[in-house]
Amino acid sequence: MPIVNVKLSKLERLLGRRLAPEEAAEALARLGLGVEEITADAVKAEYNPNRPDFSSLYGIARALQGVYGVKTGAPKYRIARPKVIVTADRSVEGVRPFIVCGVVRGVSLDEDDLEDLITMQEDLHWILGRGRRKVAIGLHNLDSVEPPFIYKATKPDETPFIPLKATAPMTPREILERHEIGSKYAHLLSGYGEYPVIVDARGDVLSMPPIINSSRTELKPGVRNVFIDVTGTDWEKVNQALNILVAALVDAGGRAEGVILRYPNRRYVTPSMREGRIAVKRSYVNSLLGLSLQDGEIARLLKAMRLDAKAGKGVVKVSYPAYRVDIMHPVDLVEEVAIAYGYGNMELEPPPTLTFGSLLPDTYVSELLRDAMIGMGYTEVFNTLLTNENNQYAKMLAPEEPRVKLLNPATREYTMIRTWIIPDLLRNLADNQRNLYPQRIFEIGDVVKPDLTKPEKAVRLLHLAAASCHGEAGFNDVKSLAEELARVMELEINIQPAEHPSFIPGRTARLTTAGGEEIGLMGEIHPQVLENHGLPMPAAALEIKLWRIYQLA
Amino acid sequence: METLRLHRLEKIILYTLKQLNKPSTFGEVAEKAYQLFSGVAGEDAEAIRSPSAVAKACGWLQSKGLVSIEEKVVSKTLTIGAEGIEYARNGLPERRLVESLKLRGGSAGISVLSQEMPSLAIALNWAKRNGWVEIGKDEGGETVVRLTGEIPSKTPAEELLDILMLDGGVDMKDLDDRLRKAAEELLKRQNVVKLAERREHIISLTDEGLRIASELDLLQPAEIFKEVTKLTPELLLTGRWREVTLSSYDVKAPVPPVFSAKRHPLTQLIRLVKQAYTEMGFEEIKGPIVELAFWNFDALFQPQDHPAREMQDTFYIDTEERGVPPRQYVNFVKAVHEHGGGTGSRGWGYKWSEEEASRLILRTHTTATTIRHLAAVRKPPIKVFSVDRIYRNEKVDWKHLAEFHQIEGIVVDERANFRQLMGVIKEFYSRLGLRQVRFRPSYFPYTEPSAEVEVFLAGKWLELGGMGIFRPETTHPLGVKHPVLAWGLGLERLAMIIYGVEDIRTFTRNDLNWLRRTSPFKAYETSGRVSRKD
Repeated sequence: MPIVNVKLSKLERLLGRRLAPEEAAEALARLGLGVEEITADAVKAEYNPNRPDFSSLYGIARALQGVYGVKTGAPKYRIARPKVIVTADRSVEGVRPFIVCGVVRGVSLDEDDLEDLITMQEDLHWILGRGRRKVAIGLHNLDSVEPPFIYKATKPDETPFIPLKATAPMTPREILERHEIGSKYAHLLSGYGEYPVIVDARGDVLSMPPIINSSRTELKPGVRNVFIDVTGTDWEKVNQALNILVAALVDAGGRAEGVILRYPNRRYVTPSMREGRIAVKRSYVNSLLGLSLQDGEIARLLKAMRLDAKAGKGVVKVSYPAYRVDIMHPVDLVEEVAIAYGYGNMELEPPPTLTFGSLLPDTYVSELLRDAMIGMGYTEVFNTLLTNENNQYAKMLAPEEPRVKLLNPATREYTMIRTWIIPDLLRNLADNQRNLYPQRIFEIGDVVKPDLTKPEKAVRLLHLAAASCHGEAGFNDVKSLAEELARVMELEINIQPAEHPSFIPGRTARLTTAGGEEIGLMGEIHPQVLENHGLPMPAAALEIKLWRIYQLA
Repeated sequence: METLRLHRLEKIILYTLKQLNKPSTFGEVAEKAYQLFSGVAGEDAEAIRSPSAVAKACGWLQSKGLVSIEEKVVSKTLTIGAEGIEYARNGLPERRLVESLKLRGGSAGISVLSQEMPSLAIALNWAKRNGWVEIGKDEGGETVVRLTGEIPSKTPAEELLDILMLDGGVDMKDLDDRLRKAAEELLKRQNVVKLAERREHIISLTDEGLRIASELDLLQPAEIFKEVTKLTPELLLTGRWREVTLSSYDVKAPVPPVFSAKRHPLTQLIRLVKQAYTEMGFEEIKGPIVELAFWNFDALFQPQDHPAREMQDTFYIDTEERGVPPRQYVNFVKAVHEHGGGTGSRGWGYKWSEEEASRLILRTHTTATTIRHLAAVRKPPIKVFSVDRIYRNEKVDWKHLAEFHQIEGIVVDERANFRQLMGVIKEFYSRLGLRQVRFRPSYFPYTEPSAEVEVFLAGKWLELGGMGIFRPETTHPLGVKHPVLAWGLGLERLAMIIYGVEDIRTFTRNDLNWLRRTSPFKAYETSGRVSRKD
């Protein structure tokens, strides 16, 4: 989750009150931020991705102003009349169709502020932009360039400029191939014949979205006037990112100014900073939260969350600032009320309706057989269902079976879901050679097999497996076990000689029910299999398909 | 009388030592005891004669402070080892190296030699130590070995090997200085020669031992021997048990360990969790592990470009097959994602793809199972739970698993509300003995309001899970009209605290030593279901 670094001195200035680090941490936690680290002058906190406005100290400060009653209701942002014009050329339609822009004048940003601004930009790239694909942001020193600007697509070998972190001019192609940042994001432009750029009236490049800015426009301490471009593939999201940035820069002391955007067939002025409107019923709030608030109280709580709220008859009408991109449905206001009320201030009560508990047959079958196995001196082990072909088949000398394979495992250890349990038990025995013998272990758990009749094309099947390993271990160990399990389950079983490469020929048997249905396999483990596991101790094992015996969920 | 505390054999030894009247070896004691007691011992006489039985009993007596045992090395015998036999027959490796170099005119390249001699490294090491060879480079830059200095035709070590081959073993005392030095050198090499030390133990009575022995001395051997160690069926059948005394044991003496077979600590905790749920009136449910993206994500209003759906977070199944999303819900879910579908929501505003929803994955949460159940049942009251496996495509380390458990639950009720959600979680944890809980706002795409629960345990607040009320965008497409309280809590993190485990992989490592040692009482005592007096 993204992290915001809240410097207390700045926060105190914005709140107009002193704030001890612990107090700030507690207040942030009550707003839903996860405090990661508290130092003498800062609090590091994780925020949830539904609140990209928390990517800056200013967004946090706005919320805390409401909590402490310093300011309530929606913050208002005035946008001065536009002066700068940006033309979106038809040539970008196929590659990166949208651009929105804003100007913020009169800011005073020191090195710290600039660092925070870059972190904020990167967080927005991730949360709204999905790694710059949907949204990419460029921040520029407006005084270093000459409006009006054109947003257009250029040929890969034309329009060279000096990108950030470089000293000589590079063409767009060179940037994608050789520049540190260019090559990292080159995949976003791969397959396109032309690349987007923003150029000024003199033909100087501001930026090559979504890759990199020109070094000419870099923000340095002391910068006064900032030009923001946000490009992307999602009209709603580029506007959200712009509104969030402009709100932060205005709260930092700047004055927002509109930018005229000329698209081939339309004309817009951004940032809009248009507030959203939504209404919530009092009864809805009260029934979901289990409270009995009056309209006025609901409105007061919503204002404390920096929303404008007007109490009507059983309905509260709300306008929310443009940076609140998380509000989709009246239910989102219910949570705002809950947070303002304080989760910790609510009286807890268990659900009142009487119901009766029950367990699944799977649980009962497993529990009863666990008792039986433990009674016979077998200790329970617990393995993951994730495994690999080497463990399941190769080391067991067993033929591969139809199975559920994984497409993209992060580790080679896990490439499939197990189709039988005995290989896991052998692995456990191999890992336990330093411990005292005899070793008798069992596991009751699922295997998974493909099943094309199911919508999800696979099925979980409950198995029981056991292994006995000691100097005298042999077929009789598991035969005794199988016979006792049959008595425990009141099941008539037949034991038939069988062949299976994991077991010693002539010491392998199949278990079938009286009706002839195969329910399991057992035998003395083949010495080659023991050797494959590096286990110099005889072992015998058994596996029973409980799903063939019992009706399970 | 104190002597009653002693085992019969101990008494016999004290009695015998008193008779011998001097410090004696195990053998001497055994021999003398046999003389004294064979007349009264019957079938047990041979046991008395065994020096090892005597040694064992002397050990008990020593720990009681009644005898002292002094250990002396009486002799050291040198014998030849497996490697030594090989060397005596074919020459020491360094000798073979020298012979080979002589045949080649005094020098040869390493590559040639290593073809010829598997034990070249050992040979070079010893030949260099003896000053027989030097290592250098030839004009071509290859490393070569050259003979140098004077090489005796037979070294003391070789002489010694010959002697050992002939005689089998020699006492170190019988070797002269030269050969003893050679023996010490050979002992540094693996399996060439072996040194067997013969030790002798001299037993003498301590003052306390003497006092007790003097008391025993007043008795006849037959009286001492009247004791038997084991009560046998024969003694019981014949009634002879009346004539004998059952000897006392040292109840503090060590015995072999036995281990009770046990449940795995994780299934133990799962059982407790299931019990807590059923006590609270919840029904258990179960669902597929291989799941449709539809149930795992789409039905839960998770947009299709949500980062959690990416390959690096979720296991996708490698198959040509496509899952089949439930026809009756597909259009509703699509509408909700695209524009809110009449729920009063804005929706996510993108083009929803059924293809994407048909992909098969390993479920990332058991909420997929919950939502299936909800779609099937719909009507309140519903109170169901599951404790089951979930998957994240993560590298495994001491803090992270790719496969772990979620403690899932939902309540659907006409009057269900957020206070009840927090209330049910508080009740659940208090049934596990965790009475201090607190709730913080949180975020999940499918719940609103959302919260996370923190539990105070072992001195700190631990974040253990998330919860919320299902959003209308989640419930509406399924036709569920009432509030759904839902939560998913971690099992392994809780288990780590309860069992004092630092590495989360401990649970699937199945170390028998750990499994045998871990008390089944742990979870029950933590939960307060079992507690000790004072």
